Amino acid sequence: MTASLAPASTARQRDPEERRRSRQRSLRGLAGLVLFFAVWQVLFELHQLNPLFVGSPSGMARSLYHLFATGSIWPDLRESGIEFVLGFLIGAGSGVLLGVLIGWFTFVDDFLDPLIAAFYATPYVAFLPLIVVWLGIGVWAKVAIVVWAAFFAVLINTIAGVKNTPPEYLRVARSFCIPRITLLRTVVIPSAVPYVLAGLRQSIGRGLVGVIVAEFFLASKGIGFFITSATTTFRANDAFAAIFITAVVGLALVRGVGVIERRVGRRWGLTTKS
Amino acid sequence: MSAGELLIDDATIRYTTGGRDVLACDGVSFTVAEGSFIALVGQSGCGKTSLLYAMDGLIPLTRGRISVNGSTVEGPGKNRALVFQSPTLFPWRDVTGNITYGIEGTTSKAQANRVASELVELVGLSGFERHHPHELSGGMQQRVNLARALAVDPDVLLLDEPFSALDAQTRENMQRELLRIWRERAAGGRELTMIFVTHDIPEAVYLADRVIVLGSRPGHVRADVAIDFPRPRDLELKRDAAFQEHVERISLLLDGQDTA
Repeated sequence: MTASLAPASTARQRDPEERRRSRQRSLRGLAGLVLFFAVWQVLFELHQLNPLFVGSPSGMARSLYHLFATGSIWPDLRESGIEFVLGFLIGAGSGVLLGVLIGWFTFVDDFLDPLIAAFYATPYVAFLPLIVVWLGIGVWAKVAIVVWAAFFAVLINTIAGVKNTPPEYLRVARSFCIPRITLLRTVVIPSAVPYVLAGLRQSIGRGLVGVIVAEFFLASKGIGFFITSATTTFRANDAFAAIFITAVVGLALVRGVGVIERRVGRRWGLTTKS
Repeated sequence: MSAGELLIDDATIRYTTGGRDVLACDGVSFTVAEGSFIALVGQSGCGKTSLLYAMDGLIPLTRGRISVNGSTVEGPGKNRALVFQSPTLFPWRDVTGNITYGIEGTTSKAQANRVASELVELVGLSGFERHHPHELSGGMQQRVNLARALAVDPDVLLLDEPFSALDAQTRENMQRELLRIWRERAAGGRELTMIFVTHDIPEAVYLADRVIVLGSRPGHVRADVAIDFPRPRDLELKRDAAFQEHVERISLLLDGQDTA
């Protein structure tokens, strides 16, 4: 029996000790962030940092305010956002679909396993020049890199989820004479859900890297492009503002999936402690 | 015509695990009349679970034959249902969803829900229909496990040490409940043949009409003891001298194997 599938013995209510500990953790995390920005600001004020290349938290804040107040960041944000969402949907969607098929037909999995492992281990941005050759430098090249980034993370996790369907569940289904196709729908896919969610969470970070890096090289718009142009024109505060936006978006998306994961975990009584 | 008549003839189960050849059962034979309650007792490793799985059709016989109502068992079938040792409920389904699992493909949703609400009542889980398995205690999970098996309306119910993980008090409670459910089914015109695997001898004597004692390595029938206490049986029965005598006799039969 896998540990992650052991039913939680206690009911839904978390005990006060655990709640106190979690509040303490959040407070300390917040303090860490504040400290980081404070040290950075102090170093800047003491003229230890070159404002052309590094900037300061206060400068970054001003820059952020300016970018949103004038709305000048929106076209770039929209461009990157479309690339990311399209690529993520296509990559994750096909990853789940193919993952279920490959995980289900062990014969296919035997054939593809080394190939998939190799693709997953290869830094996908290495394919960027080739993608440019294939698709040009338009939006689709950047969508493709996100698809690539998201696809393999979701695929690998989905395959693992399908293959790790607890054998005792399969035995229950067999005892009740459940047809194989129904078995897939009623047992295999639901029991793979936590794995799929973990894959989605991983692929968000990978997809964001894909967008930014692609835009470094082949864009005249988008957050990645904004970062390069701000840096090369010595607008360090603007560059940091854009990086900050990326970080917030990434964190929000990862947290969002995390919330879904925890909700599924609680509802199903899985112990998904990270 | 009898519906739950079970015939085990020369059942032999051999399988390989980890490169080792294991003879789980060797030439086990007995017959079970419709509607009777049989307990299979034996020490761990005597192949009693293998034998039960073979009756369900989950594992094949190497030699011999098992038949229900005259037709040979070749795989899982609708006339048998298995109550697993661990509840193995699906965590993503609530109590109702778990109970209807075995009949969803063959009945309408409305009918399945009707069956589920009857069974929820029968196993004493009213009010917990929408709960998920992890919100239930071990005893309640086993009630759902039992209801899920009853939902397919089998002729033969196969139970694999279903109460072994429960604490003593819950276990006795469940034993009494099981007898009540079995009796109520029979009163409703649905005779149910019970095959109950356990290593708990008092449990076997309390529940069964016949206790079949299996010897170990390989599993074989060592004794077939009739238990003719009147029914309905009260838990008080366990303090009866005649009850104790049965328990002791069966214990001796079980131990005999290892000292011999």
